[in-house]
Amino acid sequence: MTLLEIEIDSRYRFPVLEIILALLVVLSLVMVRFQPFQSQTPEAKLLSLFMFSSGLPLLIIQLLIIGYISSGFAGEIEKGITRIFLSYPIGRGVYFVSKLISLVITPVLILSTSQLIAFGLFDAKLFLSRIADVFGLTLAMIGPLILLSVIFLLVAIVTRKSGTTIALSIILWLMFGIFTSVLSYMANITRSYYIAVILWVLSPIHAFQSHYQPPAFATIFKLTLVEAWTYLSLHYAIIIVLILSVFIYFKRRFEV
Amino acid sequence: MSLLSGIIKRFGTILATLALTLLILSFIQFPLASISGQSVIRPKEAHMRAFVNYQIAEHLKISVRSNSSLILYFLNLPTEQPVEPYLFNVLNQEQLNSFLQEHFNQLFKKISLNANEELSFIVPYTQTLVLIANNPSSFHADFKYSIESVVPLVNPDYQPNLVIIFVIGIILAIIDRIIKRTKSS
Repeated sequence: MTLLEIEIDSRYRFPVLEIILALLVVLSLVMVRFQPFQSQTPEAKLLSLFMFSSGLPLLIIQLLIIGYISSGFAGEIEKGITRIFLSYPIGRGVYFVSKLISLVITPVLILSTSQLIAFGLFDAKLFLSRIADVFGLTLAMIGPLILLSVIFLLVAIVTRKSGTTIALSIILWLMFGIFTSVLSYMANITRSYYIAVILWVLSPIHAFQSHYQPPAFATIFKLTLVEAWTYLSLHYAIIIVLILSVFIYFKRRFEV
Repeated sequence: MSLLSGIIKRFGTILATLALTLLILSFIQFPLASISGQSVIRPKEAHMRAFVNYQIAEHLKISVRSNSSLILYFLNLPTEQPVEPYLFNVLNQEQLNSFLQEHFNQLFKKISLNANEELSFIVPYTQTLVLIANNPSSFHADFKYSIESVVPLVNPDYQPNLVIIFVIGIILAIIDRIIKRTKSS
């Protein structure tokens, strides 16, 4: 707990967290306000709001996470700070969890909170009447961000170098973006259900897109809400397995 | 205990910062676009103009010139209903009457303007259709108009709530100091 307190306090010293959150809320509000919406169902409108407004804030948070992981985790391993920490009676598991919370979970929480506040202010009635959809879409939006961040953590542990972590993380991030775009394109062109399934598992927002079918993002496949939630659950199952694998690797195999 | 007090303190500062930011934003209105022009409506003809809001407020200013008069109809259309087909439509008197009859329930304001009169109106946050028609008793309508779209990022109706949230945030932010002071005394 003390370690987590130190981590959060040093990384998000007042007023860093407050300013980031306030700016992201403003940014999301601006992006939400300037979207022209065609007539559509409330759920489709909600999805369009998420897809239009999450772009830039998501990019900022992703960059923030890469920066934090490279300096706060890989950098600490490189400089030997991790070794000093672990020479004290601190468990490796506790150290890893505190890093996971401060480097990944907190920025993701900042992003989701800012988006939820912006949507709530933009259309409170829609937000409150579709709270389950809002919850699902928020999870679908932050899922790939968490998935990539855990992979970046693994890269930091394996490479142990700050610069290499940044370079590899950016390459992996770009490759993930290209891969999902290609999958989406291929699924539409070939009408292959299997390709679409891979896409929905890797990027569950596409599964919700196939369910709500907003006019701007209509797809050829139609899913039920239960199916969309199933793909979201599969996505989070992958994330949990990945976190556990990285955790076990750090605890048992990682040599300081 | 120190972690809990730290979390409460940070939660308070976050709430206060957010509330203050949003409160400031609710006072600022960003002009987005403006249109101005002049128009003449001939007898037996009505003009329709849809000021589509998509939650953007618009300042509408109309001034009627000499020897004419006009009527403005404000219709509140449900957001599911596409407003695009009504944009820049020209209707004759019969079409206008049947349109108004059909949308009777959505008509929320009707204003008559006489020669040399001026109207400034803020179109509310809903999807509003403003219908400009010539007054049947007058020969024609000759008017100037200007529309300025403004975007208040935060609905000003939230201001009282934001003030309350700000005060709660400040109280939470200083609560650990209050606890420490109470303990020491």
